[in-house]
Amino acid sequence: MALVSHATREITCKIVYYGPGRSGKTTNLQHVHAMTPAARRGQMVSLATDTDRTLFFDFLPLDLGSISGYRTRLQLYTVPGQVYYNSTRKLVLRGADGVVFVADSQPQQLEENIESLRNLHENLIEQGTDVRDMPIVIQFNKQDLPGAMPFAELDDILNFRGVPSLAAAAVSGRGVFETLRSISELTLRRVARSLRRPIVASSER
Amino acid sequence: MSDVVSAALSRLSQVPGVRSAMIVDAEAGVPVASELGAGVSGEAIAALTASLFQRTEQAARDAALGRLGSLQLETDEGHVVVAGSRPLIVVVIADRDAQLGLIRLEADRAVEALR
Amino acid sequence: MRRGDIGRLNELLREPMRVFVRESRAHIALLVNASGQVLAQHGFVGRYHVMNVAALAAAANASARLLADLTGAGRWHYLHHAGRSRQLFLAPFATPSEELILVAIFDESSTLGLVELFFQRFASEIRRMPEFAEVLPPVSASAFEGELEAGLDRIFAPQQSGEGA
Repeated sequence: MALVSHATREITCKIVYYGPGRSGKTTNLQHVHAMTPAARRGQMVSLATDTDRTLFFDFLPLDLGSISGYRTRLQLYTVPGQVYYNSTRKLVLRGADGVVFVADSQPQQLEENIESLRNLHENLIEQGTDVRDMPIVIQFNKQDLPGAMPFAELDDILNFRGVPSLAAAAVSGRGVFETLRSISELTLRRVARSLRRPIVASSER
Repeated sequence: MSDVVSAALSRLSQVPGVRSAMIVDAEAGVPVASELGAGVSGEAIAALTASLFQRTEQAARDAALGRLGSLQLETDEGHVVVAGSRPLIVVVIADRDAQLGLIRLEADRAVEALR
Repeated sequence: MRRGDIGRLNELLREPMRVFVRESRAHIALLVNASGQVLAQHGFVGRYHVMNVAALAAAANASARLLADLTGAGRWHYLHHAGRSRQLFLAPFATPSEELILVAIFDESSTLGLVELFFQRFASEIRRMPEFAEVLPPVSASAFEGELEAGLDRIFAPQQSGEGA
């Protein structure tokens, strides 16, 4: 749940990057970390296995600067993708204000994408969140790989709720900031609605 | 470590024939304070004596014999005296020819001081 | 994620686990590696329950270790949670081949000191086993998930009634 302090005029939102194993969630954060000026971000924390797969979460705090007079911070998290780690995935999902679903565009991963999306909905419902109220953006990652399914086809299959969707190749950075911007706007607009204040999301990163 | 505890420990260690003395947290089975002789594992002794004391306490209760005061073990090489002052217990390890009466007295004294 | 020989390891670890549980009087014990792969268990009812605890234990260990690094605390010996009637003990230990984690749950019939004492003995015994004596080859990341779940399948195979009650 977004932390809003009217006294100190600060807003902090939690964005969780979700998706099947190895779809590029950690890569998204690594790219954001690499490309964001040090003054605008904190240290990135990664709890990973010895094969570099997320074991618990990755965490990256960002400072978006002032939006409508409020100091706006984002906390980006990733979850472990493997089915096995569902318990830890649920923990990380708690209190999420927005979700980026990172899908793997390779055809052999289609089932994994569908299963992960189903798992996301299941976990949200279990924690009492109305899925329709949760800001979600879908990123079709690995569009650069040969044989990657076309955007339109993936969108047709996976984006049945018609949420904003983007193409990406996180490993080169393509689409990473666009995705972040999209989820930030959606999330902050929702926070603004609950505050009943207009918040204009600027292009500040 | 409080003065009371270190004073009690000091007195115990100074009794002739005492090799090691410990104050142990009976609930957690961990040492609170110790003066150990060479080659003695304080943690192991703390864990095992606490467990033993607890079990013997239970036996005394079950046998309707009331509260357990102290436990005394006789071994080939010496004696172990364990006296209770819940939540703490006092453990003394002494040579075979140590004056057991004196040790018992000092252990009871320590228990009183720690109460 | 290391092990393809889970079935065999499980057999070899059965006795050390049994001794640990008996001596420490813990009623649940779980041995996992740093990625949460289950190597041995005692007292669990179902594979999904074990899976949850295993994944969370690995996460807790990773968090605790990072906390120690970030705060300059060095290495923890163990993590201990004292509840009203039950306590949790979680301790990592290094073997030549990999880091392992032992998780134990105990109640008032045991103490932290006792559990830690027998954990130390358990860890020493595991370290001496030839199965944990050699540095393991690097793992194929694509086989990762399969191995996580396959390990559980082997431990909870129908013909092994084991110690799980």
